[in-house]
Amino acid sequence: MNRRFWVRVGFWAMTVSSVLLFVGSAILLHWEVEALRVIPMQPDLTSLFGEEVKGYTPLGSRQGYIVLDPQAFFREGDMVLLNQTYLQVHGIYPLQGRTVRLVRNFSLGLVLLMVLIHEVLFKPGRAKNRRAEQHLT
Amino acid sequence: MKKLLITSLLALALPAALATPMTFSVATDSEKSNVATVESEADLENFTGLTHQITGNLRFDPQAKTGSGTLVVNGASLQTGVALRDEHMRSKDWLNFDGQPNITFQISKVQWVKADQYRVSGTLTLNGVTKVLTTEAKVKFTPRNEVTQMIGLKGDALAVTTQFKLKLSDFKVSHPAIQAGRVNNEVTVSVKFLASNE
Repeated sequence: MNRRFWVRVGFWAMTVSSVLLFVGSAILLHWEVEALRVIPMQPDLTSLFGEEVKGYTPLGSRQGYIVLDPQAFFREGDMVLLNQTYLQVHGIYPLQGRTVRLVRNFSLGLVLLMVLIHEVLFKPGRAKNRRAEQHLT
Repeated sequence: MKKLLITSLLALALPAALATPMTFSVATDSEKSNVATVESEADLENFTGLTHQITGNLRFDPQAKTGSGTLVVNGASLQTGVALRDEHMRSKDWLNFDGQPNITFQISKVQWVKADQYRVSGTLTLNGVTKVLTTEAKVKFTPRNEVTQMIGLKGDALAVTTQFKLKLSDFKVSHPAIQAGRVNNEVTVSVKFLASNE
């Protein structure tokens, strides 16, 4: 096995990984839900904090979350809320849409780079080999 | 007639004269109600550090609607859900909670705005640096009742919620990731807690 073979193996392994990463992250984004992560509060506590304060404590601002367990979400009016207590109990880390989107874009960039490398480095070599083979025959 | 007028005036003035500031301690047993969060925006992910460890004493006069006090959030106990990130956050390179674990808000002035809204002024100490801070807070006083007793408070309840933004560079937090713009220099701090005067 020569060095060229291993370069090709590395190249295809990288390309396949990038494609899988791109497809995987693109699929995951279908589960993205715009929600506010909250800690639910006892109704009695809500009355002490005043009527304007809802029955939960928000954790950070509203954003896109990817949690495959639908029971982690609940609704209050128009708002979709992500239950932090449920996440903690079930040991779920909420993926953020922006993280997965970044991975998707990065892997797409890698795929394009691999195509470019293939076109620039491997294709001319293959064409050269083909011409040499034709010349010999 | 004169006597009646004086008596009426005294009757009106007496409750105000008798009203004295009460000292409230943060109810450390109410873990679920006491929450402090620090939210930071980064390229890869927005992360929120969460802790229930809030302590302190507040003097508040429900009649005069004035107050003062000290509030301490244990920054070293902030958790973001990723242990390694918590470790980084506590390190000297970031918020230095390993060296200076507390975020301290020394409240010197409380001004009533409207309803339960107050303007709170004081100094905030983070990473050993003290800066003047003025923020809005919702302060709700509830005299001892069935609800306060049910949740384990022995006296009257004071429920406080506030949120403010901080610039990390103001507190000598200057990690290269902040300088490169990968992590926002501004963080949002939210504090919510219950206090009781007994």
